[in-house]
Amino acid sequence: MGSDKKGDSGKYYFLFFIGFVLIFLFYVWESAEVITLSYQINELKKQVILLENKNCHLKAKLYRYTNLANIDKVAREEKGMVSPEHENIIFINANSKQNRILANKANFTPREGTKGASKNSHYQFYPDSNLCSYRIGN
Amino acid sequence: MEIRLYYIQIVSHPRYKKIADKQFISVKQAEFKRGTIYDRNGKELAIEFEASSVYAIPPSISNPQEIAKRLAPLLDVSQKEIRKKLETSNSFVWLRRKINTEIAEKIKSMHIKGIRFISEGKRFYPENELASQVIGLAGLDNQGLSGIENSFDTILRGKTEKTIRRKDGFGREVVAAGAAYPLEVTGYGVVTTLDTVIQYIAEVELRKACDETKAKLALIIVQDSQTGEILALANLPSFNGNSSSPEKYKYLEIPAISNIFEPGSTFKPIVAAALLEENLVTMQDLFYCENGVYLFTGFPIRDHESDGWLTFVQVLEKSSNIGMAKAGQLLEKNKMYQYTRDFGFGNYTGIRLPGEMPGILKKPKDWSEISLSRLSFGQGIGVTASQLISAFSCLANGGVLMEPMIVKKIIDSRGEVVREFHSCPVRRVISCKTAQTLTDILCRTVENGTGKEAKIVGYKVAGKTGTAQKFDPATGTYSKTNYIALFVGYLPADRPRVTILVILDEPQGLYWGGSVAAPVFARVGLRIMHHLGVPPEL
Repeated sequence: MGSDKKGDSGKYYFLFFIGFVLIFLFYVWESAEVITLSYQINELKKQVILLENKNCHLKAKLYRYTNLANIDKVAREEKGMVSPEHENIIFINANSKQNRILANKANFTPREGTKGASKNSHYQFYPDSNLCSYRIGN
Repeated sequence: MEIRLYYIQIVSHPRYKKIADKQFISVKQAEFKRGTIYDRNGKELAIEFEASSVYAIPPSISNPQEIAKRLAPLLDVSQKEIRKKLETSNSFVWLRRKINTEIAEKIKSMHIKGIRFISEGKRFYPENELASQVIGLAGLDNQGLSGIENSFDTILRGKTEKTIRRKDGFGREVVAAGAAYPLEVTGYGVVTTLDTVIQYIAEVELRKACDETKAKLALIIVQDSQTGEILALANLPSFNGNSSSPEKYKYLEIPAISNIFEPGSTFKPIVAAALLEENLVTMQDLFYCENGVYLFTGFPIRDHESDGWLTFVQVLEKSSNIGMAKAGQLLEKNKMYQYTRDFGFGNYTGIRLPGEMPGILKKPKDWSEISLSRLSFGQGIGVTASQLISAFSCLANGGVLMEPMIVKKIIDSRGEVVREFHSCPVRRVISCKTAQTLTDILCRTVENGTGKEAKIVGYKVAGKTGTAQKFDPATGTYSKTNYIALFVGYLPADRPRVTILVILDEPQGLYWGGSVAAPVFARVGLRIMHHLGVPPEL
């Protein structure tokens, strides 16, 4: 009986020891995993910043071409576009269904001899006001 | 050994912990990225991106002369200056801050010992000169120096916080479980009331006007007549925020809010509004204009035309100083002062820009016997452009003075609105009826009077010309050669959308407001009507 009790308590001690070791190993593994993941997170964050910077630099490059002064210059000097005269602007209500259909069907005449002038060279749309204006012909 | 262990672990614990913490823990201020400034339609006007700053560790530099020779052309700094920096005994010295990436890459590829790089935020203004004075400038350390960059500096910087960071033996950052470390804090975005297209129109026309008139300084303000929102504020000379030239620091002030000038005849409608509101005159009341010269208490008042009897409407149409001086006498000093204050003169307008001046308006007890008559045609008072345009917007919107607004809202990095600013009525100054009467008179001024050049085909314009003699501090009198030409008006007069003020300071040759400023108004006004899609009504 006495030796049985001794054997049982030894077994419990052994199981307790095994449990303790497992918990300890889990703790070590978890800490190592957290640290490894934190390295990965830091690397990814650095990459995000790098990509964001690259994006910003590309944006800055893009802005050099898309700023209003440049668009105006290209339109006038390279494409030969001109500001529409007041008399050539027709205001229509873009909200009206009939006018929308008309606008889609309208045949715009570019200024003759204008280098690079496209069909909608003289088209203006005013999203804020729901109004469109068209420069028609010359 | 046990005693030694006890000594190290228990007694010396705080000392060793301190040494270890110094090696493994660092307190770091989260890097802040300055918020973006937008126009009213979401177009970016100021953004931030990373740039490289080059620094040197002089003790590590072996051949300063040779290195200076290689770096000088790339850094755009003189060889002598670089060499001087490299030969100092300091352990750290900036060579050039915030250079562009390509140049930084070129220098990096040289693998020079002792030359290092650090990433810093750099401000970029996509539209270059556009609205440069209003947007302002951020300094080398990302602090706002002028304009919105300055007045909204704390908002654009965002909240920065210090965080404790743990490093491993290789100096790599280790994130403790559950800890959230902000690597970067982005400031809030500021959405302005500016419309980039209207601003561009104003600047192009202003440049054209400056070329034609050789004016020393010029400005155009475009304001929403109903809400007081500033749609454009163009000043010349201006600067390009992206330029590295120190010249730009000369023009940081915003003349529209900091320059004080005499409004001249553009002040007459303000006096007229007071007279009409107090029922002291009617449109048909007659005033004798003394055929061009009137001696009032020993001081001559002159008109540019010799007129006899004129109705009150004609006095404004023809911009008669004598007629207005006589009409102004009908007002009591205190009433005149009160109306002038109520229209916003002699006080800050509340525009959220740095450097605003309140103008000059003396109290009635300090007025001389000629003050009332002089004030009636815009002399003896100092106003700012923002005050003048706000007063005209008050006439345009039916008599309510609105606070000029430059910022619409503050947004966070995800675009969520953090704070919204609403147009703010300051006070009702005159009744709707008086405002309407004034609008009718101002329309006639453009149709038949001094403002004919401001006529716009298809649109009814209400406006007033002004030609102010500049005060010469050297002689203590009004200059006979230096003038300020002005035109201020609104359109379409029946349902005003925008109020526009044009000022040309010291134009050469022709100097009348009606000859030089009014045509600029007409050109800007027409293009704005097209841009806003306001159909012609005439």
